[in-house]
Amino acid sequence: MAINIKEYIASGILELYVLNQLSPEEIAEVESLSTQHTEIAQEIHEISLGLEKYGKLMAVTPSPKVEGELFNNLPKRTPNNSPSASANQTNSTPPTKGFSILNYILAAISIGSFLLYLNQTNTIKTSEVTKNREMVACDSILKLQQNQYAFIQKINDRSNQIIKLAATEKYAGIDLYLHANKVTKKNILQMIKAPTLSQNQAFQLWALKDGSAPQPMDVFTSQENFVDIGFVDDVTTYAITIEPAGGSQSPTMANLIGTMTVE
Amino acid sequence: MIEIEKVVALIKNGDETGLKTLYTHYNGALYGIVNRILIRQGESEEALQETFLKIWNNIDNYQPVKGTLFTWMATIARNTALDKKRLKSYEHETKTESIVTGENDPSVSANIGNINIPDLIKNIPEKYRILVDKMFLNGYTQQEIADEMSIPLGTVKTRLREAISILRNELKNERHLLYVLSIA
Repeated sequence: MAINIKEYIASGILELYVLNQLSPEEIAEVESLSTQHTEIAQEIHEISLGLEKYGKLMAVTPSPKVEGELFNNLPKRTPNNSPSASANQTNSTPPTKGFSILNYILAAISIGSFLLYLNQTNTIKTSEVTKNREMVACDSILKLQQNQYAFIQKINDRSNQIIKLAATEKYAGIDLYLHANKVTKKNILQMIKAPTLSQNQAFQLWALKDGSAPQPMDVFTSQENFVDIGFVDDVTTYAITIEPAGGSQSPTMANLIGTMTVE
Repeated sequence: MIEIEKVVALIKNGDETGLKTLYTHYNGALYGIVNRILIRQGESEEALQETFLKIWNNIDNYQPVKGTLFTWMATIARNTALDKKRLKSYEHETKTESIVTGENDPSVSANIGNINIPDLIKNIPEKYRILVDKMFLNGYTQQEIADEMSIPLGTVKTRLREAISILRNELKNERHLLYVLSIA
């Protein structure tokens, strides 16, 4: 592809490339051109360095506990399988006295071909491993993004009714929301600020219907921000309590966190 | 200056000292990004931890020919924070909130010695700096910026180019000093 490099650089596309703002097609184009034109590769490097310096100037120091938590919970990482060096080593044995020159030449060609074969095999294997890793990473990211997208759709569903928890005096300051959807018959609990549970405790949801005893529902200990919870038709109010682990058949009123009334 | 290639090799081999070196040098810059997006300290610190975990787990995907390690890490930090923000429905609350920068943080000032941050940045016209801030630190898309600033998409692109050019020029002479400081 014939391009005017100066114009291409001046177009601003490289800045957008560094900021990860291009489409996959544009990214492929920039990467292809940067391998062909050192000026483009150099410009990408310079833009990156400029942003790095700006990022450092705008730094904010996190609390020291972050480092401790990160390294205390760091999972083990399997070291890379670097290409074997054995392919470049030869274990030559002394030739027998009766070897002719032709035999030496044939042996040298054979060894050379074998080494070339090993080298190419290693290169292909390394490339395959890298490709497989990238594919697994892509699949995993895609799956994660699909899940997140599905979840965002669920949260942003226009037929959702968002109800703030009316907290009891004991649990004032607790910040929970119920995302109730009568159309899809799904409920999601959003826990912005939830009480802390001890080891033997769990949250329990209750469905309250006029004239009936509280109906026990989900028991959970998750401290995640969003928790999928059950849906019951014709319920006017949901309540949430802290119960012994495993849940209870009737709510412990002393541990009533609050109620959420559905319209 | 840290030797990026060595650090990357250490992480690839499962050696924590590689990640510790990155954390020491870049925690503030990456925290600056996630904090600009999430604002709240707790969420920002979670996002910073997640960012470094992703760096640890995905270092094999880093390709030096595509840019510097920092810009790769910055993209991870931005995406992590944006995912968190979307999930927590922060969208409307925080985009218009005031920006928290290192300028007011005494611990940051301590890290950068005698460099006068406002002086370094004040020569960059506001209309350009806002653009870099929004895209690089706040994770806005071109379209979001065009909509918010009521300028055509093409103008965003050319103005961003000018903005980063000015920024590169303004910070050109600081490179050595900054790198020296980053070793300390």
